[in-house]
Amino acid sequence: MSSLRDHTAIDRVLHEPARAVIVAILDAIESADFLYLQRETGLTKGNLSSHLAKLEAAGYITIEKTFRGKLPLTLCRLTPQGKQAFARYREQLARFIAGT
Amino acid sequence: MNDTLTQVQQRARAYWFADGLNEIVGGTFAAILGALILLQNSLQSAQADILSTVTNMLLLAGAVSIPLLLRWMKERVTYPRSGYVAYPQLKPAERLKRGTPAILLALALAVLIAGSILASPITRLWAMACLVWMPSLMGVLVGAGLFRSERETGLTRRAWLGGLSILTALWLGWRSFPLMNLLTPTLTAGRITEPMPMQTAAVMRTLMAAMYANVAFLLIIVGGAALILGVVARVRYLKETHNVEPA
Repeated sequence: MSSLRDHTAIDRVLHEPARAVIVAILDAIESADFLYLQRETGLTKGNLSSHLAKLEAAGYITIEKTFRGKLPLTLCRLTPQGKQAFARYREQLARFIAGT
Repeated sequence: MNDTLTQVQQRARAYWFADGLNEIVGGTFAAILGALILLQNSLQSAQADILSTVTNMLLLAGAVSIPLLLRWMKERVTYPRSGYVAYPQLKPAERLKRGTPAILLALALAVLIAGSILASPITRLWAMACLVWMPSLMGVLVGAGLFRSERETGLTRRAWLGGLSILTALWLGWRSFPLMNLLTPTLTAGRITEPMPMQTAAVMRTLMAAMYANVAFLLIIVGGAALILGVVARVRYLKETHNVEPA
């Protein structure tokens, strides 16, 4: 019963395929812009913006609007809290799969 | 799900190579350098010296300018097309830790060869033989590095290049075997402080020429293959990103 409680206590912010993929990408690199994330996730602009907003609200990512030369750039970066949450999420997934 | 996330992360790490520009620029440079070294080997003394200076300058210029050129090309072409990714910058301590095995290996080889030259006439012969085998060792190390890169990025073409580098190293080793017949104990019989006998100097020149030729072949073969694979990757990248709205 306690292991079932562990599984249902999974991080709901990350336990959404699109957001899990976004955070996985940001965990592997330093930062990425909106265009790259959109291409990799295959999401529409609106959908991606919505997921990024949820991750930012949870404190897992920071979103920086900057410029690269004259081109505007929206840069996303994983916070230390986001890194820890992602690592915990992967451990939970691994335990869940091992238990099935 | 965890496997999917691992693959996603691998793709993110491989993005720096996705546009094929790294292989195109690096492969072209390596092939040109190899061709120059091969040409230098076939020229007379004064012309070879001039070309040697040019080659050394090109090597230095390439080491400095290639990373800058790549960054410039990606800023102009890749990032506006498919997005910008920044990679973590390693701290100096981490860089040192990663480079330590290569540094130690280079130091060990240098000490071994210097020690061999000083130790005895027989070990001096061995040190002379090492000249010719160095390019083969280079090929094996480059191949190992490329296989490691394939594990980190999931890019199959890195494994192809790694395999080719190792096969080339084996071929270079095989073609160097006949040169070992030139190494006779009389070549290094005298004291190290005495002037080098003419016969020894002639054999040294032959071995040096063979070493340069082997380095040239390694650069041309692996560089040329990298260029071809880079072009294939570039064509694929352009097809995959042709309908993306510019940033």
